[in-house]
Amino acid sequence: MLELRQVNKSFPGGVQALADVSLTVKPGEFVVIVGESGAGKSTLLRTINGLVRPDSGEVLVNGHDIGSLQGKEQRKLRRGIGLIFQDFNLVERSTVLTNVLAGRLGYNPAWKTVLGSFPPEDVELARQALSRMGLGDKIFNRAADLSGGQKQRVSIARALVQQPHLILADEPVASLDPPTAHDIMAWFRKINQEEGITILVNLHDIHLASQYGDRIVGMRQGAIVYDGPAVSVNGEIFASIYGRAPVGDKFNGAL
Amino acid sequence: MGRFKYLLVLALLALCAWQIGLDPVRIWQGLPHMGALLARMANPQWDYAAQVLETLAETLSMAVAGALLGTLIGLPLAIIAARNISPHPVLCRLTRWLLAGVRTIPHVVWAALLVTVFSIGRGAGVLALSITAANIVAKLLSEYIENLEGRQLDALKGVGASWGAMVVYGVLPRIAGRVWSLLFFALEVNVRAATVLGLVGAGGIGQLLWRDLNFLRYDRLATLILILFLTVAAIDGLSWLARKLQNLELPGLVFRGYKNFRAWQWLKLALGAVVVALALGWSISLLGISWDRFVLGLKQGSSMLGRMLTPDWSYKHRMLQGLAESMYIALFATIAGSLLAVPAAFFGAYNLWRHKAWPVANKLAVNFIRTFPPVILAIMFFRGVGPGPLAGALALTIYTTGVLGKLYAEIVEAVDSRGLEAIESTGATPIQVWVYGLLPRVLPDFLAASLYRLESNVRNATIMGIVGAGGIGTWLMLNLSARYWERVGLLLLGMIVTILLVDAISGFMRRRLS
Ligand SMILES: Nc1ncnc2c1ncn2[C@@H]1O[C@H](COP(=O)(O)OP(=O)(O)OP(=O)(O)O)[C@@H](O)[C@H]1O
Ligand SMILES: [Mg+2]
Repeated sequence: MLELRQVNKSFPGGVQALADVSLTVKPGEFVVIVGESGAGKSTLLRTINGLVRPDSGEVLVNGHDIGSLQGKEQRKLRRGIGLIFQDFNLVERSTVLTNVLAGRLGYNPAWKTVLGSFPPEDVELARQALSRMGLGDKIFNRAADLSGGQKQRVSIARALVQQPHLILADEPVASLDPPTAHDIMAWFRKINQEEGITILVNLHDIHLASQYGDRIVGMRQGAIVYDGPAVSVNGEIFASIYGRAPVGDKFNGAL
Repeated sequence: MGRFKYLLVLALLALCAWQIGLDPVRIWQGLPHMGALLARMANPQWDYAAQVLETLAETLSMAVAGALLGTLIGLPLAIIAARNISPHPVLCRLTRWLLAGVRTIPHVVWAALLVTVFSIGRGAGVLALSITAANIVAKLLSEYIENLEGRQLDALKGVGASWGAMVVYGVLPRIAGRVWSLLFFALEVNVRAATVLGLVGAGGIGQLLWRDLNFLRYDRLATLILILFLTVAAIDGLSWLARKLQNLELPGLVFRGYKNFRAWQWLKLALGAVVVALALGWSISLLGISWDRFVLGLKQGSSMLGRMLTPDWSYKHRMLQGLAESMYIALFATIAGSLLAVPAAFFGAYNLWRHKAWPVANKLAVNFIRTFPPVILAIMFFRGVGPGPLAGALALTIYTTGVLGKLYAEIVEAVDSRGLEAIESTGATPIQVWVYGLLPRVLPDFLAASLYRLESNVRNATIMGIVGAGGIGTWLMLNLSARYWERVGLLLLGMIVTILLVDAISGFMRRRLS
């Protein structure tokens, strides 16, 4: 359960990245957030897992206001939220397994993990997550040796071993070619449907968004300007999100 | 306005030249003597060389130990001082202040102070080298850590990792290569520094240098300088090789299972621990300072510090005079060196020449010049123009030309050549292309590099005095050996204020340039 209540965030320089954002996401939903560059999509996700502290308003994750928590309490809440980035953010020099085990850091005491020691259950969890993502034969490879799509699957596996109730993905397919992008989006849908993990994905591309999301949230200049089912997005709504009409037949009535 | 600025700089150069007693006739007359010194290097005294090599071993071990200790101390300091990973903002700020404070005191001065605290010998030298190396490593590494993408750390913050886990999983693997290359960079710096530490009694080859200089044994000096030159060049080469090695891709290991993988991890950890322990043990044993001696030293040091903190203000005229002389030396060297480096850079830039022989020869020459530590160069100039600020200024000019010649050439090489082709296609001669097409574009970067050099030259100019090449170092050495701590305190205060002031002005001007 995720709820944002009138969240505001401004950055030095006078940019209002979030303007009075209120949003409720029910468990198991697949929400896609769209909007042009600078609309505040990344800031929204970073606020939800507490990397950005809002100026005002509340961000309730399972009933706790993550923005007001500190230290250990905040880390505890964070470990239940998977985070996936556009450029994967793996440690290239480390093995795939180590990268995935990093998802368990929040569950284990620091002094043990610093020596590279994880309980056998965690290792098994990482192994399973990797073979689910079709990377069972790559666990001891260096992350640097993988392709872009494989790297993104590793970071999904890292999120999965967190055993999250919520996954936040910030433009997870922006650095990938179209077929790989569809592949990754299909993975998100799969884990959403099979495990009931709530998913929030930022996307640039409204076509991809309406193809995979159940619900679309449109952002413009920090505010939510559309929130509704993917199927009812039309040219008018597109214009309200992007401030321009869709280009010709690329945006067809099917949406 | 633009013209006016250049005239101002030239006027400043003229003022400095006058103040340091630049006299073309004297230089001209000195040239044959210097030529003779260089000629002597061509046939070294082999019997003396054996003696030199013995002390050289000590110098090298000092440099290595200083680099190892410096890196080991600098790494944690860097993590504390990096704003994006520091465990606590207050700790971060304090560390940055500490580092900036330590940086204002040149290594030879550290060595001289430590010699009086912990007795004469290589121990003080190793300590001084460790202090400066730790500072270099901490500064460069913390800048590097701060330049890591913020998101790379966010990925670990996002899983709820603690600070320690974040350092081990997010920071260390990303900076490992950098630490390796900084270790060798510290070694390069230390080898140059270690050659002169003996001048203040901190062990190594500098002690021989001092003796030969005092007895005017230029025949021996020639041999010694030749050996030093070869050593510095060899270490630079080794260091270059070691840094290349880091990019070497090791064949991926295949593990049969998680147990194997963990065993390998433990092996790496154990090996690392052993290597670090050995390095630490060896370096500390080289210090040759017993615990009792150390405690005694700390006591002496604190009483010395107490006296330094009550400066003898009646000495301020000498201080100001020395500082002014150091500033003249530094400014002269920076301006003259920058002017000389411009042609050196244009002849040395690969992208300006169709035939690569020119730039290759030029780069070799520039690297050759850079190899001599400025203090050693000053000693060579003594033969021509005698001791004094002129020798110091000329030495620093040559060194600056070497360093800037290399930096400027790299700046020119980074320029997109398409704009140049446009001018070339109008039928302009190469000189015209450079002056009208290139110079305006690279000038801001040249100036920024020169300002950095000025900061470093001010530090260099303050220590020229230890061999009698002018500046405040002359008075510092005099009062250090007389243990006149109230005066040493005043001189150091003046030096620190000047260095901080120059750094601040230069930093301000560099920010305006960019
Ligand atoms: N740390 C920061 N400091 C200052 N300004 C910021 C910071 N982070 C974001 N902003 C600003 O806030 C606004 C929203 O940024 P955000 O990254 O959330 O947009 P976005 O919708 O994710 O854009 P994109 O599609 O380009 O990723 C932008 O104007 C951005 O410049
Ligand atoms: Mg974004």
